[in-house]
Amino acid sequence: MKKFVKYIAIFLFPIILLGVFFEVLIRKIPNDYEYKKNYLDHHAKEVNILFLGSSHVYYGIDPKYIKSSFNASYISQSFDYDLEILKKYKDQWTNLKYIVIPVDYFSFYGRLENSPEAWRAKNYRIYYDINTDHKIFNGTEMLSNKFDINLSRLLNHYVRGENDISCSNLGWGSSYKAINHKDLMISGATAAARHTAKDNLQYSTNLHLLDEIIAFAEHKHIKVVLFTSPAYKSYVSHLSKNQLNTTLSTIKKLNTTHSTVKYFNLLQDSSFREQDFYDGDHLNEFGAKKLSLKMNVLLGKI
Amino acid sequence: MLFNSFSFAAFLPIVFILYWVLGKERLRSQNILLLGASYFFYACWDWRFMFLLIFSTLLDYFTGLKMMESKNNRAKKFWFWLSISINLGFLGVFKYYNFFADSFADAIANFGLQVNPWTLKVILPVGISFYTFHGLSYVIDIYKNRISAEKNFIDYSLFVSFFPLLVAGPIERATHLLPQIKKERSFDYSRAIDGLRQILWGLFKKIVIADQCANYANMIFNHSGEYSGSTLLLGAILFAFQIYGDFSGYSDIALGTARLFGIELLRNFAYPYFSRDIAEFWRRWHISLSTWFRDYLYIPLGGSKGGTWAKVRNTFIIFLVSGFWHGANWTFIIWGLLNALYIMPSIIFNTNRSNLDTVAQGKTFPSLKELAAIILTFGLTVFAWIFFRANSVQHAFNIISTIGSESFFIIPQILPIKLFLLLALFILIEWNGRMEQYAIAKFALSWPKPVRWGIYYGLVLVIFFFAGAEQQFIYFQF
Repeated sequence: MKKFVKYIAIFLFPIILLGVFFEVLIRKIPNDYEYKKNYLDHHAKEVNILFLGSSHVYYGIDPKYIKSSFNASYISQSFDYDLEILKKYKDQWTNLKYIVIPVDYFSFYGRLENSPEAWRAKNYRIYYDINTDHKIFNGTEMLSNKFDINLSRLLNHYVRGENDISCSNLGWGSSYKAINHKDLMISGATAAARHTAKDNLQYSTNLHLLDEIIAFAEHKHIKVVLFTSPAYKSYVSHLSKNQLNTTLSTIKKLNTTHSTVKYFNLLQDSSFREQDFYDGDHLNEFGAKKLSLKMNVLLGKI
Repeated sequence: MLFNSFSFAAFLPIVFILYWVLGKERLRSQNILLLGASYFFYACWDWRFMFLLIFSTLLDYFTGLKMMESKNNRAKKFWFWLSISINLGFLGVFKYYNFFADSFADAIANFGLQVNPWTLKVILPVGISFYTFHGLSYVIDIYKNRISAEKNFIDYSLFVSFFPLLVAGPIERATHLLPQIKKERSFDYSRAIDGLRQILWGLFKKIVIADQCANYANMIFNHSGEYSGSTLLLGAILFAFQIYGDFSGYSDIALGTARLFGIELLRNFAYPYFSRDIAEFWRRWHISLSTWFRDYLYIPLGGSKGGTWAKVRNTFIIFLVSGFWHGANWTFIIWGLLNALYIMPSIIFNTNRSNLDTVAQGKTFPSLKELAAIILTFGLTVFAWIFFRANSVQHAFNIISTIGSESFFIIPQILPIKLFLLLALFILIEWNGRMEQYAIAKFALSWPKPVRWGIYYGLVLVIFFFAGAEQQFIYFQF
């Protein structure tokens, strides 16, 4: 038995050592999560308008068009992470007037942990110090990400001198360029199918989380602005009417029961045209500018 | 908890150390520890189904004892049929109810009557087909006086629930596993190393071969209407490697894990794709299930006695049930019947036992005749896998008709060259190790340790390189 344990330890030692070494190296690569956390650590007190939510806001709202705002949304960021970000800086939102959150077709029906993007959960734990899930391995880069992806991140940063930051200094995701747009018809239908829920198991949890966000805001005398993001016709036409109507009626109810909540439905807003979309449900840089300016006007009217 | 997960990588060493350190020379403690670990392992999927597993264990344990205590045949028969009917009842409700309800509604619809069948919205408890078959073999063996009922409840529970085999086999027999559970086990260095080597090979087969093939096979089968006949054939071939890598990889991990605890499980795979005929294929594929059907269904039906037509009938029944065992879908039933058709010539002409040895034994390469036989058998198997993988019978027929069309002669739309190279390397390693229980059992054992370790590090690196999101094992759904 001793011999067995000894040889196994000798065999595993270089693997573990290499793993730890890679883990340290990967964590030193600058990335969006770390950037946003550092920004809020230093500037949360100055923020008047905070944007939360998923990729629709991340790529759709450029805060440079909205004074004193910051985009703290990210890809697949669900209500539970929005709430945790708010709670994390609860004593620092001294100038915060508006929390803007997208409530889209899928918002009540999924959470990051149950999505194909679940691997991103580790970023909140490692870089944001937010720990909503308790999976042991989500605390490490090496064990929660594919090895080849980690390897290419290491090569990109340490050999080619690149970093993982893809957002602007105010948190907008600038990588969805019009020049690289996808087929709007195909991507719209695919995204709609992906966003159509198989069940409504997450509905009540998500509603409860949104209620908590509203309660948090009310306590701090902050207004909550909900909106449904603009999408291309190919996306809208493939949505399940039942899921969409449930989502819209839930928002309507929230809007009427809370005086601090405002809602704007931009899903089929005619000012967004084909050339504003990167794919069926995401805006490109032109669409983002249009939405940001529109949001600025809407917020000014509240 | 999946074998290819980091959770299992943490779970296994903890149980292993506790087992050999705390349970040293104390058989009872070792068995209690293994049983607790097995229940924990199972509860990680869904703790609610633990009650079903414990109920099934209690049922067979008590009916086994009652059969032993029965003074007359009538009482024995009563307890036997009670166990059989409850076991099959659970299997029927959880696995087959919806299939029968839907099929009945479809049949009625053919006569112009519309009924909305009441279907159960239940999840299939993982491993139910496997542990039910464990229990069934146990009570049948007692009924047939082949074994005595086990009096120690812990030992019997461990026989049913031993975690390496709990969710996807091998399907064990009381005559093989129970004596091992009751016997003192001491640590054996070379056996433990052998177990680790088999686990490593199993992980390679699952993560590198099966999961990589799955990426392409899923893409091709899920969008079959968009691909040419040649691409669809490629998809079917990749699925053949996927299911082999997946299930035999799982079995290797199960056998290797059990060996770490000093327990030998039944071998489940013996290089089936090197078979020279379908009869040989079925002696080498999912061996524990094939032999279960042979011993508990084929032989009681009369087996080979009673002439050719009895053999033909019994063979069809076996393959029909085997297809049905895999799932409540007509695709599995047709897959089973196809295999029955394949094997018929050798049953009728009594040549089903002509390839009992390993192909090209003692030689480096097979003869041309052997190679042709291997390719033909593989081709027939791939054809049957189309039904196994397809979403419906219509889907399978659509795929087959596209394969049979002109588009078969164009270059496939998908050509995963890296995967082809990996598969070629995999086939070479399997061919080289075909005389052993698993392909790398004796590989490089006589080579210097640094070289051998270099190979193991290489395998670990490749596994890590290809490891992605944990993929479910195909046979968990059965």
